[in-house]
Amino acid sequence: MKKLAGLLADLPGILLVCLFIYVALAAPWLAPESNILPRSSPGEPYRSQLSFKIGGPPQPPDANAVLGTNSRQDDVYYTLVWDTRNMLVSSLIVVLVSASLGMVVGLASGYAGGLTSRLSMHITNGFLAVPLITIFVIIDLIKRIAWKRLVGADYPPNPYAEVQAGSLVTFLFSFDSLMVALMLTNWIPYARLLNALVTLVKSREFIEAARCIGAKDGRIIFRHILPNILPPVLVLAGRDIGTIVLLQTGLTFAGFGGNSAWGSLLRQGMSWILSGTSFFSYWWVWLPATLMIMFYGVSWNLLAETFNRRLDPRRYGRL
Amino acid sequence: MPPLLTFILRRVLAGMVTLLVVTIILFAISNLLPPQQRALMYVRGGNPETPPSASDNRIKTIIKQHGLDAPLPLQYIRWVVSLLQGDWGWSPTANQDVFPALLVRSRATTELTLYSLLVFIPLGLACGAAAGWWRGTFFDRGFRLAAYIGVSIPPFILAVLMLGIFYVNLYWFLPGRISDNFARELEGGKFHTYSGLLTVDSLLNGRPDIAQDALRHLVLPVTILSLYHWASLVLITRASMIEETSKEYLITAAAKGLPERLIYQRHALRNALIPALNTSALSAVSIVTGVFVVEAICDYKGVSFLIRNALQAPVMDLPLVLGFTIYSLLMVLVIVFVLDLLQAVIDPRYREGLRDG
Repeated sequence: MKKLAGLLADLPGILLVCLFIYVALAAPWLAPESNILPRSSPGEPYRSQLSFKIGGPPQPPDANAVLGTNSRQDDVYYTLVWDTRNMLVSSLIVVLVSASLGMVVGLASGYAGGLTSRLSMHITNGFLAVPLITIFVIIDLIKRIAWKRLVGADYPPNPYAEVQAGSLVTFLFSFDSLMVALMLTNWIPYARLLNALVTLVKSREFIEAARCIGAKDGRIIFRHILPNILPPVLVLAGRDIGTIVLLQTGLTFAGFGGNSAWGSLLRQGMSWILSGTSFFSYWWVWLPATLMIMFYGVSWNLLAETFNRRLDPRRYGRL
Repeated sequence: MPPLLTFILRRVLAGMVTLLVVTIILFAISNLLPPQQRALMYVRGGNPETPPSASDNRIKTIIKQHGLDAPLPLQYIRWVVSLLQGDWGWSPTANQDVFPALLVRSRATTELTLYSLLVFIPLGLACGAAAGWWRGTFFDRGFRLAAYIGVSIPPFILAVLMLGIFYVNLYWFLPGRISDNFARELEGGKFHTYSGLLTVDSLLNGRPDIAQDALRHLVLPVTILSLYHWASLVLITRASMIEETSKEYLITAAAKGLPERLIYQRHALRNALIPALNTSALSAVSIVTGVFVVEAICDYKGVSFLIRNALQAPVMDLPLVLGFTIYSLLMVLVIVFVLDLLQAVIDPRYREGLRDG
C-alpha cells in the first residue's frame, strides 16, 4: 500500500515530462513543418500559413488556428509545439555543458583538497557575485566585438546583406548569448556541491581500502567516488532543466533578447492585454503560453523530487 | 578600533578588490578593439550609423588625448582615472553621456530595490520566525502554503497575472513610474530633487498627491520582485527557527521561569535569524537580475531601460555596456554589504570573527 502511494506520487512528474518529450519529438506531426512561414530570428514566434493574414486583431481559436493567433498573427499552437523542441534541446545543452564543467571543477578541487580546493572555491565564489544579466550583457558585447574583428561588420548581421564568415565562426555565433551566459553561471552550484561531497566521501574507509590495494586516482574517482555522489547531482540537474527554461523565457519576455519563442509570444500577447479592456477578452494570447511555461517548470521539479526520493537509499531502503 | 568599524573597513576594501578585478577584465575585453574604434567611445553626438572614419582628425586627437595607443598598464590607469572623474564615455543608443544617464535612471532602480528589500526582508523574517515558533498551527500552514506558491510561480508569470488583474481589470495599480500629468509637472522645474526617490521627494516638496501616485505605480513591481524572495526567506527562517527551538538552552530558560515572550525575543529569534540572513546575502545576485527584469516588464523606466535599448540596437554601445556592468556589480556589493551589516548587528560572533580574521 505504501509502495503504491509512493508510485502515485511519482506519476504526475514522470507523465508530464514524458508529455513534453513527446511533443518535442512529435512536433512535425502535431504541427506540420510545411505550414510554417519563414522566421527572421530564432527567438521569434512561429507563423502558420493556415492562419496568417495581414493585419487585424488576434483571431480566436478556430479550425485553422487551434489556439488562435496574436496581433502579429503568430500562431499560438505552432509556437507552443515547436518551441517545446527548441527549449528542451537548449536547456539540455545548457545543463549538460554547465553540469560537466561544474563536475570537473568540483571533482578535481575536492579530490586534490588543501590549497587547490580553497583557491578554486574562492574563484567559484567570485563568479557567484556576478548577476546573470551582467554576464549576458558582457557575452553580447564580446560577440559584437569578435564579429567586428572577424567579419568587419556590425552584429547581429543585417539579414539582407551578404556576409562572408567561415563555417567555424558561423557555428560559434549560432549559440545564443543568453545560453552561453546561463552555462557560465549555472556550473557554480555543481562545483560547490561536488567539492563538498568529494571532500566528505574521500575520507571514508572504502576509499582507503581501494587505495591500499593499489587503485590509481582515476579509478578511485570514477569507480568509487562518482557513483556515490551522483544522486544529488541528478536531482540538481533535473531541477535545472526547468529553471533554465524559466530564466530564458523570463528574459526574453522582458525584452532583453534570448531565443525563447514562448517568451516573445507572451510578450506580444502582453501588449495586447494591456491595451485591452479586460484580462479575459483575449484569453488565448496569454493563457496557453502561461500554462505551458508553468507546467514545464513544475514537471521537471516534480521529476527531480522523484529522483530525490528514489535515489536516496537512506529514506527508501534498497531498490 | 570598534569591531563594527573594522568590519565596515574590511568590507569596503574587499569591494575595491572586486572592482579592480572587474575593471581589469572589462579593460581586456574592450582592448580587443583597435584604438580607432575605442575612440568612438568619446565621440559626442553625431549619427551612430555613420561613425567618423579612422583618418578623421577628431579620432586622432581623442586617441592622443585619452592615450588609447599608450602601453596597456598606462592606458588602464588613465581609463580608471577617467571613470573616477565621471567621464564614462558617450552612449550612441541613449544619445547622451553614460554617467549622467546611469545616474538619472538609477534613481528609479534604487527606489524599486530599496522598497523591495524593505518589504521582503522584515516580512520574510517575521513570517518565517512566527511560523516556526507556532509550528503545526493553522497560521503556520497558511504561511507555508503561501511560501510554496511564492517559490514555484515564475516572477514573469506572476507579472502577467498581476498586470492583467490589478491593472487591466481593476485599474488599482499601474505600470510605469508616474502618471503622465505628474511627469510633465516633474519636468516643469518647480519640483526639487533631494534624494532622487520620487516618494520621498514629493513629500519633501509638500506634494502628497504625487507620492500617492508614485506608490500606486510601485505596488506591482515591488510585489512581483518581493514575492519569490519573501517566500524563500520564510521557508529558511521557519526551518532554522524549528531547529533553534529544539535546543536545550531554551528549556533551561523556561525552567528558570522566563516568560515565553522573552524566550522567543531574546533567545530563539536572534539565533534563528542568523542563517536566514546568511542565505539572503547569497541571493543578492538574483535580486539584481530580478530588479532589471521586473523593471522591464512593468515598464518602470530604470537602468534596464538603457541596457535593453543597447541590446536591441544594431550598433555596438561599448561605453554603456561597460557602465552597466560596473553599475550592476556595485549594486550587488551594496546589497551584500547591507545584509552583512544586519547580520553583524544581530550576531556578535560574526562581528568578533571578522575582527580576528
